[in-house]
Amino acid sequence: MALSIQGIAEAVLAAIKPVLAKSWNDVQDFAKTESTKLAQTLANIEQLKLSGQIDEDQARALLDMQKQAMQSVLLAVEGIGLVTAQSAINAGLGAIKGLVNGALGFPLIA
Amino acid sequence: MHKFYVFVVRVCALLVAIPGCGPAVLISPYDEVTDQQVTGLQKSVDGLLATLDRTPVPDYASAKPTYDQIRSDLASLRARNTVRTKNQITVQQLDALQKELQDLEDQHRNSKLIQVMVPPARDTLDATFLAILKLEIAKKEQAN
Repeated sequence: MALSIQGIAEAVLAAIKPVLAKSWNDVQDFAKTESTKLAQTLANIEQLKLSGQIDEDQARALLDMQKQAMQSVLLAVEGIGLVTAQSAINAGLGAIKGLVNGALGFPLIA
Repeated sequence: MHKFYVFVVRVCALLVAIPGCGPAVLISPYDEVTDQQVTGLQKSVDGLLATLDRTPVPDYASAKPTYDQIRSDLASLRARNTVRTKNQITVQQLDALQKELQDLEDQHRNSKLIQVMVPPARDTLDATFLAILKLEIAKKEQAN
C-alpha cells in the first residue's frame, strides 16, 4: 500500500505542534514545508523498494538518512523556539531596564 | 512596589546567575564562520552528488578523496561548534549530517549505491543542511 504524503506530513506536524505550542507561530511555516518535503522523500523511497529498484539494505540506508534529516529539522524548530523565547525575555528586560535601574540607583539590568 | 523589585531581581538571578543582569542567553549566538563552513560543506556534498548521479555510479575509489575531504571538513566544523556554549542543538544536527554521509559512503563502498538512490539522498541531505542554516540564520536575525 502506497504511503500517503499528506498523511505522513500531518502525522509529523500533529506530533510537533503540542511540543512547540508557545513558538508555533514562528516555526509553523518551516515545520510544515519540511514535513511535507520529507514525507515526499519517504514516499519516493517506498516506491523504489516496491518497484524492485532497490533492496531492503538500500531502502534501510535511505530511510536512516531520512530519519537523520527529520531529526535535524525538528532540532531546528526547537532551536528557533529558543531564539524566539530569548528575544521575548530580553525584550521584557529591556522594557523595564530604565525603570528598575533608575529606582535602584545602579545598573542591575545591563 | 517592593515585591516587584524582588521579582525582577529573582528573574535576573535565574537568567544569568552572575552579578548584574545581562541579556538572557538560551542558545549560542550566531557564528559567521559556522554559517560559511556549513555553506561550503553543502557545496562540496552537492558536487559529490552530481558526480554520483549517473549510471553506472562511479566506483568508490574515484570518490574516496572527496569523501575524505568532506569528512575532515565536517570534523573541523563539529569541533568548532562543540566549544560554543549552549550549542548542543547545532552539534546534534551536525551529528545527524555525519550519519547521513556515512550511510551514503557505506552504500557506495559496498557497491550498493545506484543512480536512483541519489535523488532521495540529495533531498535528505538538502533538508539537513537547510535545517542547520535555518537555525543559524534565526540566531543572526535575532541579533539584528
